[in-house]
Amino acid sequence: MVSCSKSTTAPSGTEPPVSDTMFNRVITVMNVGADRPDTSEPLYDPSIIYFNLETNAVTPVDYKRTSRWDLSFSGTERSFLGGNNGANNVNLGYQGPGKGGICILTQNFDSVIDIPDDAAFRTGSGLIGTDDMGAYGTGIGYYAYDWGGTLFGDGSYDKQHVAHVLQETRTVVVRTAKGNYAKIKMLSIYKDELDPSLWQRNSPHPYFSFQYILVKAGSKKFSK
Amino acid sequence: MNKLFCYLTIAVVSMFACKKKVGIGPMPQNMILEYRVTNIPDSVIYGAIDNENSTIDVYLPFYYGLTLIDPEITLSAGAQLTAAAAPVMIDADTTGGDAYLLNGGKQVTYTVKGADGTAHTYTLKVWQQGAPPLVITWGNPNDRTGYPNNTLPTVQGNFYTRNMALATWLLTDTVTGEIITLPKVSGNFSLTDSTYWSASVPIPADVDTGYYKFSVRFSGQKATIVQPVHIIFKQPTPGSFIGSRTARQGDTISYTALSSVFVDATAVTVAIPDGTITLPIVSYTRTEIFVKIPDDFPVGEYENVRFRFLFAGWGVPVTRGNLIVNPK
Repeated sequence: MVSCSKSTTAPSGTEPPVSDTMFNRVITVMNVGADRPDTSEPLYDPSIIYFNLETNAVTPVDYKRTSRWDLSFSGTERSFLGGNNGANNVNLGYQGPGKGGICILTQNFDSVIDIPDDAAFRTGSGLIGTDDMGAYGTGIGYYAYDWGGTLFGDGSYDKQHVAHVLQETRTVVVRTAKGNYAKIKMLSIYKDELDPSLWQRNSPHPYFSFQYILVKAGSKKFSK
Repeated sequence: MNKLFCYLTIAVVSMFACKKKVGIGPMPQNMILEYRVTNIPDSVIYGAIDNENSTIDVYLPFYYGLTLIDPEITLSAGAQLTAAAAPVMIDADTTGGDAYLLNGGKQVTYTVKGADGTAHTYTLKVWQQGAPPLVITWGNPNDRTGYPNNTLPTVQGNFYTRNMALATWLLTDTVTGEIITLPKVSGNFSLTDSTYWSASVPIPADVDTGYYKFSVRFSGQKATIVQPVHIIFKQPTPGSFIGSRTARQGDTISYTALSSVFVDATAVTVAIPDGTITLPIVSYTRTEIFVKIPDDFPVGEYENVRFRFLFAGWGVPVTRGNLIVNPK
């Protein structure tokens, strides 16, 4: 009776899907990216950044057809956001395993509790950037391009052409490549500078700073 | 009868003579139990694990066009990999039925350390699975002429993917045997009635004229078109409209070749209301020509004026452009 023993220990995997420590807490990310070369034009379209919300790290460009990234920064000044979706042929992760998407809400980060329905998530790339409030608006965006410097400044030279991130009135929601959810508060595209009153046209950019909370797939609400 | 009894006795004794039981030994604790390629949509590819030879063989269906695999690995209970399993780059240029080169030709191994402290190292091999022989042809067998700084004639083949970036295009000089690797094309193959074709494979400007065999390395195979392409020069031209230039008297300005190369340049002139003025050639390459605005060129703004770019042995195509000349 005691001679037969059967191990019930489960085999171990090399990579747990996502560390549990990443969920249900506010994660702050500072200065993702690098400033553009000195000689580049204003509409310079630099290489794309792929960011993994589940590990809080930038993913190598070569890995774009994997589920190791959730948020892309592309387009002008890398300022347009997208998710990772392998089924959409205009997504940067096309033909990969990503099941992600992205949407934006006109709500304060803290007030966003309910996770939008899946139908609300868009699956292309470079979808969310400039807000119609400013110049070159593309719908509801997370920043307003203050061409004349009068939307948020005094119109002085330094306040013109500032990308004013709408910290308090916009929340980006991402369905990650693996199906988890994150709500994101974009903070700034200027290096080390989160105070809107200090943003100037020549402040080093684009460096993306943001906060986010990750919750597991199947969740209906965000919680800390 | 005695003999039969004797045999029976031996048989019965033999049945109970061996009392040692040989059971199955404990399973090693340092094994890879499952190797899954996860970076394809809505599916998974499993690797074949050979614990005796310590290998993992992954067979990739050609139609996925993968240049990278991202594995998820399941190990024996309590075991760990000594290094995290990172995505593996696949060199699609590998030919000859061999396993793909991985991570630029490096060996990819996984070392599993079991809960009992023992280690087992596996070597990864990735193979292409099930691709039909690659066949390429010219889109039009009667159109086999190409021009430097232009594109090859239309090429078609059974690529089964629209991703042209997976192909490496080669020209082989039929006289010298020199192999020229053409620039990668990042666009898509066009697809018509199951035929994949492209008219955008570039010919570098510095390619010499002559006959070349045309080949492609693609997804583990190499194919060559029997009929060579004839590369010749065509009418050198900067295009029918060369844009606007603003210069001061005495400055040097330049123009670039359009879908052709500059050879044997002799003169550049511009016709303005004051007459036709020669712009002395300072220098030129196959793709760019530098000319000087004479010190006494009349100052003014000349819109849509006629330029002539003269090359020995060639005609003079119509070329127009704007020129603004300011004083020194």
